[in-house]
Amino acid sequence: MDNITFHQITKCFGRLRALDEVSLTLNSSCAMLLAGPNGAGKSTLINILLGLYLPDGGEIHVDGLCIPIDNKLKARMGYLPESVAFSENLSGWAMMSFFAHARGIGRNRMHEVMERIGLSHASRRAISSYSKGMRQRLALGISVLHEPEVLILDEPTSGLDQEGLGVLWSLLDEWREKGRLILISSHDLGILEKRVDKFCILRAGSVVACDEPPALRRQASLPVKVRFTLKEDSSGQADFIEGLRGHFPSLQIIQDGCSIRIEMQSERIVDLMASAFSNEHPLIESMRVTEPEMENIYEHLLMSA
Amino acid sequence: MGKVARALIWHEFLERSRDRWILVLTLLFVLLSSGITLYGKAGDMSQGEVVGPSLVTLSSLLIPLVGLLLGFDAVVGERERRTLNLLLSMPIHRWELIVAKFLGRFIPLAFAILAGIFSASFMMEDGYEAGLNRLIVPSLLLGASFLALGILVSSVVLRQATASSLLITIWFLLVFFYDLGILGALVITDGALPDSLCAGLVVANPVGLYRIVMIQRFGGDDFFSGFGMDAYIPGPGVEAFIWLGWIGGALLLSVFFLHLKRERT
Repeated sequence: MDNITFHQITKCFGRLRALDEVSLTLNSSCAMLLAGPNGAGKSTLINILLGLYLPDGGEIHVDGLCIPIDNKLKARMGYLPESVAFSENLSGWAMMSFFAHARGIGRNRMHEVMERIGLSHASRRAISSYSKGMRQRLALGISVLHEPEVLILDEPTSGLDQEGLGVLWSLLDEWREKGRLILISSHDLGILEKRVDKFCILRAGSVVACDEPPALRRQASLPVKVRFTLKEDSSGQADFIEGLRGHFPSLQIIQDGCSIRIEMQSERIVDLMASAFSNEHPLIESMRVTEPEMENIYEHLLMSA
Repeated sequence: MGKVARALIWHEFLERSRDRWILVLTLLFVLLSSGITLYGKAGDMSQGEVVGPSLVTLSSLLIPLVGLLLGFDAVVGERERRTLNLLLSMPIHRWELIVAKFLGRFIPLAFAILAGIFSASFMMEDGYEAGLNRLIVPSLLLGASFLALGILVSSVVLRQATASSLLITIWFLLVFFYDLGILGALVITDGALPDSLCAGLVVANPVGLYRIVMIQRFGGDDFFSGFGMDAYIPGPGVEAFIWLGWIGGALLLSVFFLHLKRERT
């Protein structure tokens, strides 16, 4: 499967328009993160993709063909629901066995997945004795058990510790390498920022922005933070700041002891560096540029929509 | 049925078999039916006349309760645990999910019923135990009806707590108050209700049907007339229709509500 395209998908619940002509494309080898406040339509979109809801309008195209989400297509998808709670009185192995039998998966693959998610040692224990992270890892294992071509993860980082996050990252990398499609819905933008290729920001059932992080940064055009650390030379520091103010009169330069903080548009950084290092200032110990975090970009795009 | 549905049947059986409430009720059924048999053996009357009707009374109380208990969380439990969407995201039709839930939960129910009847049968003296075997099929049908009813309740409500309250209400209504309601209607109307309507209402309730059919089978065709009563005994065709109507109707409605509720999950 190379791509799935949502074309002008609309879904209403009574008077509520949960999705309003949403169009986006999932491509192979690409992980897309659905972000948005509660009620933005993320779960509705996922449920439509899973065939749980029927859209009121629009079409879903798989590899360019408009097809319904039937059992054949469902068999190619893997799904991790948000905060899933499996039966407490069964063991992790028994739970995985059910999904393995349902998908026609053999024991070898089950062992492999159990090993991968780090639950081999606890597979025979009742799920009631599992921690939240272990339960989430089990659910993650179940979602990839049949090696689906499309992996849909709803809040996958919920409850995961570092070890669990490591499992999640390795699975995402593997799926991407194998050219499969990944759709993630999450509020953890900070954690997932470097792990996904594309962000789709939804608000009130509409797509606010959908692109790769660099493009979203450009779209938001938020200032970057530049921090200079200077050597202890009060007269030299004053000259340095004065020089910067001369070149960039509109910038707000904040001095805090030996460190100087400046917020500015990223395209002007080259000018700043040229100015700051023009005289080969022996005063500058270090310079650090911090790009705006994805959470800030997300909030900005939401607010400005 | 597809692969997912077949796996679900086994999974449901496994899960329900480990349910402590079901184990406790099965044990209770075995103990009480054995106790009734031992008590029946002690008297001078024919064991068949004493033990059979007593077991019918016990079964008509306990089997509906076990059936409802097994069914009430079938769908709403999955919904609350957020596993319903996970199940439905697999290649399975909604009707298959309901039927698989029903079949998977029917196995432990059948085991509980058979354990109760066979434990009584085992303690009966030779020649009488065959009589108790007549209880098996109607008891399984009674259990299946209430299991299907439990699954229906589970498909309608959105909270497990609501389902459990409804379960108790349905049990009281159908097991205890239904006949009283018909009696009350007769008193209020001063017996003006047509006999056919009253008779139809009695057997329309699976518990009423079970009681009438089983008591007639144990007591013989003249049992009710011996007490000066004129009971309507449905023929095998009508009896089968009522049983299948309850089981099939409840399951069909469950599928309908599962379809309806997908828009509100």
